[in-house]
Amino acid sequence: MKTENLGIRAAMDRRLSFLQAESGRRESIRRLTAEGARSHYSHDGIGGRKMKKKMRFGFAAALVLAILSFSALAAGITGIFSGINWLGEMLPQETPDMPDVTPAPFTEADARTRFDQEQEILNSRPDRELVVIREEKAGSWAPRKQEAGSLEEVRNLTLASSLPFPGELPEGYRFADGRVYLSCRPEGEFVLTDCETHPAGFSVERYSVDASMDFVSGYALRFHGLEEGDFITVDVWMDMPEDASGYFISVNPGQRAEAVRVEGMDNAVAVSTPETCILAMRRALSEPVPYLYFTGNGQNTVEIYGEVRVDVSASRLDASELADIFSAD
Amino acid sequence: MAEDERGAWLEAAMERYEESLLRMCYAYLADRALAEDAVQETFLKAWKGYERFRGEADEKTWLMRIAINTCKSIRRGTWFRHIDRSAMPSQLPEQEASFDERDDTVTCAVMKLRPRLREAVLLHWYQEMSAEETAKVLGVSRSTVYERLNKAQTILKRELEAWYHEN
Repeated sequence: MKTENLGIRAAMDRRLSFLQAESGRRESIRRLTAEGARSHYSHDGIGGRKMKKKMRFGFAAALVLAILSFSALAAGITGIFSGINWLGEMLPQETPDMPDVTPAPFTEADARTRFDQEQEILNSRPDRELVVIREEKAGSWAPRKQEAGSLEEVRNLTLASSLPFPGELPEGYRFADGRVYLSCRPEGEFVLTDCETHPAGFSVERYSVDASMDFVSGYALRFHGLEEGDFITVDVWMDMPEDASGYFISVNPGQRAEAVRVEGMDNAVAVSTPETCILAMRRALSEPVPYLYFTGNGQNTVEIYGEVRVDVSASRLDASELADIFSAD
Repeated sequence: MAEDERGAWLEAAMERYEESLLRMCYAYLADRALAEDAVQETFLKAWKGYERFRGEADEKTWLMRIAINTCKSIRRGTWFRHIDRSAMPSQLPEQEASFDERDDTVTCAVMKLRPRLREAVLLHWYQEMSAEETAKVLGVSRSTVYERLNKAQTILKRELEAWYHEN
């Protein structure tokens, strides 16, 4: 293979030269390993530390969606090196367990405050508005959404889409909240309506899309059970197509994962613990759905949705009961 | 196991691979802070698994495998779907070595590849690992690596047509 001709390494190294080794990062690693060594290598992982860090980037989804059917997975994402793909094949476990180390602060106090401020802005964004928080070198945004006050309202909003919708819920569960997510048709555009610099130093950009260019490309629902803490979450979204052997869902130690058959779905995988169960499903769209992907760099691109992903999670319900929720679709 | 030995290995590994890992993780995740997270995570996992590593042949292959798996885990997280991926090189600061527009084009083209193609490209062409080593890292056969590289090459040639012929 004449790979040398592409000259990728040299070009990328020049372009990515702003990314360099840092003594601060090394020091942080040293501190964590020192703490890990003192803890006699117990195998509880450093999930707490990692989740704090990841919240920095995930808060938009975590707070805005309110419903993360994969929250159980996300919560234990650190140290995961086992996975299952849509075909039920477990990925090789080649990497070691994590050391148990005390969570280390990942930002300074003022950065934490800024994080909270960004979070608040994203969380309070108006319906249909795209809000982008831009910092010096990165940024985040939350998906455009429209809140719904009832299950029926969510259903009505998704009628024109090809998204599957829950049928009958198990007895005792009641609607808690819901929303739909909006995508922009390829012929639409994101119009910058406002840009301001926050006193904390980040900028807040607000974009609108002509309502006639919107279409519903996903939704999220949360239901509460009769007992405190019981829940069902449903998260449905159009996604770019992936092949069945490549996609995998991370599996933590203590979780059981298996491919299951769910009527109406091309693939389904259940990941469960004694306390919770997550059923991840997908099916191909009958025809590809193009949309305008917001890149944030002023040159938005047309991308294609090729499949629908459905994640359902719950306490107290097993995979077959979760599958039944969509069986009437 | 002597802590000194493990600590010394970690220091040497950070010295040798930190920058390279950081750039690869960035190219995979298109997010600087996530890439920094991934690098830290990679070294922590490597440190913990050092004893196991001592029986393995190739340090770089092992570290790359941890790094790629870490990036995959990050990418698979639900929250990743909504992070800002606009932090592409064109928006990032210019530092150190100079680059030109073509470097930017090449880097962006690689970062836009589908993940499976991208990881093969990053390991084989960017990290200059052999197809066999790349296959080990990705847990696939060598023929699968070649297949992915071929696909990636086709896409990159198309995307970088002008650039490619110049080179």
